[in-house]
Amino acid sequence: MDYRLKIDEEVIALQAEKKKDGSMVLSHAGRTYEIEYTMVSEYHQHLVVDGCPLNVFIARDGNTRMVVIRGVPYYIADADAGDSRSRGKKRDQVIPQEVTPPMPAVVVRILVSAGDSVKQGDGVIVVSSMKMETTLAAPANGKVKAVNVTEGDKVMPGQILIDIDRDAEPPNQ
Amino acid sequence: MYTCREMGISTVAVYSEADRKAVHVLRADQSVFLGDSDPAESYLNIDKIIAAAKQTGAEAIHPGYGFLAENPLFAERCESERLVFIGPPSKVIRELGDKTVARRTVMGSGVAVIPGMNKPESDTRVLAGEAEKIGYPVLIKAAAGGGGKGMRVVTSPGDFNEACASATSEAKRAFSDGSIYLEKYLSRPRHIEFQIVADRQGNVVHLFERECSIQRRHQKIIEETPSPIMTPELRERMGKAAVAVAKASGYVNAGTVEFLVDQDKKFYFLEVNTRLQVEHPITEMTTGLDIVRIQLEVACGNPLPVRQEDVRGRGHAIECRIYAEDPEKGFYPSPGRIIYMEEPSGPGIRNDCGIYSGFQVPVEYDPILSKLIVYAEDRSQAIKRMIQALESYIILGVKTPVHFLIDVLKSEAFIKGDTSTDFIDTHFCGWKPDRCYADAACAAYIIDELNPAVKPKAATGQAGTEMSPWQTLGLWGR
Repeated sequence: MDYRLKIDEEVIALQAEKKKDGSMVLSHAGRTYEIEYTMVSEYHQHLVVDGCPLNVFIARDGNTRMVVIRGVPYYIADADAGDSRSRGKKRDQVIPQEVTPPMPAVVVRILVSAGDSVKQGDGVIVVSSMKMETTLAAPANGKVKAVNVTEGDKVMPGQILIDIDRDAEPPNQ
Repeated sequence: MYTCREMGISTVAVYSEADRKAVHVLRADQSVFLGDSDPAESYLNIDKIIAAAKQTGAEAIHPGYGFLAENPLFAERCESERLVFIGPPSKVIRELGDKTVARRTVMGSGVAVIPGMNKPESDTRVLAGEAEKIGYPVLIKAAAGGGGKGMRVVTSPGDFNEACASATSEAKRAFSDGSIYLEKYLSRPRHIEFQIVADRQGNVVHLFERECSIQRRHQKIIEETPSPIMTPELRERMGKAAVAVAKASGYVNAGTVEFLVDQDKKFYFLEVNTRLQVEHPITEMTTGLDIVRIQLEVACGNPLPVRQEDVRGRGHAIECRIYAEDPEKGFYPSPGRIIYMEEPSGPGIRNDCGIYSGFQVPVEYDPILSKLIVYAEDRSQAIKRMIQALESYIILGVKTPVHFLIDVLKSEAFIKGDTSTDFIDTHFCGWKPDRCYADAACAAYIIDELNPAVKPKAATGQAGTEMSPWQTLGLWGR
């Protein structure tokens, strides 16, 4: 069976063939692996990859699965399934006029007002989460179109705190 | 709490809305709800905490290592309410807590301090003038500071005003005191601190050093003892200085005297932390002493159970702090629900852990999840043991720096002991993990897809009220 998986923002194509119970053959980029597996628990698989044993931990988080091997996390999703988070990221890349917090936060100080000209990298707003203050910077040169929040507001990732330039989409929560 | 239980002392925990299911609440003999998650309504609210103590008949209060732990008003209130505050007298906290007063006290005892201001200032113009006098780069610090809160390095005058404003507001919210002052920013120093314990009879003993140079955002993430650069001669001199500082301030109970050590091994007094520190377990590992027990003994008025010549350090201990944060994105906090976790175990491994499977990491507080501590015969063994422990520490559901810490411990610079407070910026700027098991991870994903049968079984096996993890994903899932 063919799979297209998105692993850490990279899409890769793999073929997997399930053999007798407890084993499969996986091919990716010209390499083929013989994998025996045991489901130790819902979150724990014991794999033997080409004879090499590996403990793998896995949990589902939305459409993404978090996989941990030897302490290193991998975030894997079906590349063709809709995922709200990846859409959000894409939008940020395509239209870099918005300032949005990377995580739930509280607005501490607003450093610009509507009509101000800003340069890429200028600090425009300071937010705080888990007691840590961070200054969010203007993603591009332009003019501040609107400040959508006031000091003390609780804000979420994806919420547009400050519109810069034109063409900004309405706030999407 | 473990120590209290061993000593036959009952414990009362206090908690806020966000911490209803926190580990300290679940383990205490009794617990009292304080109020809203906002610290001002709960953990920083002196009246509510005193009322909780009275209501439960508590005789003493251990302030831990955050919030009111270094607040002299709180200690004073305990004194006037006839509750034992497990820490130094309020007068000592006040004097040492104001970092500028502490600097003046220490200068009087003959120990070197970092060049800088000796009183706090709020006028930005005066501060800017001082900055010119000291010479850039300068370090803005909160007079009431600790834990890196309200601290900013400024390299050029252009950034000075915004840095002052942001340091002031961060300090105000963390310590309810926004005053700041300036110090010269030393390049590539080591952070080395001495644990001290003092009794009411005037005895002061130091329990050797801890090196805490590996920091991000001025917050320690890896601590070890002994320091890789320590020599018996330097330890003797720094230990004496630490004891002198404690004596000059009239110190009682456990505290930490922090120093910066420059590349010529010259040491400068940084500050005194008038409380138990997050990293105290490594000292307990190498000295075999229970510092919390000493705190309780001293608070009861008993003399110190050890003399300086009785204190012996053996082997090497390392602590790694595990925060809910993303080391690939500037250590940004990563709150969420712990879907599943497995703690490392084995000889010489201790995990002081505040989370469990199903625990929701609150957005409201510092995102520390646990402290992993290892002990071994020597430094290289301890490093290997820590790497092994980290590799078997499984936390699913939030981002953690576990893989980052593994790479730091494996790095040549760390193994050589070439550590300074700019270690992460120097050696790990723009760090990305080596994702060498990506194919195996994809295999695990596919196996998980192909074997859904396991899941319903596990989910229905739980009690009726228990929701399956993906129904309660929290912030990320929605």
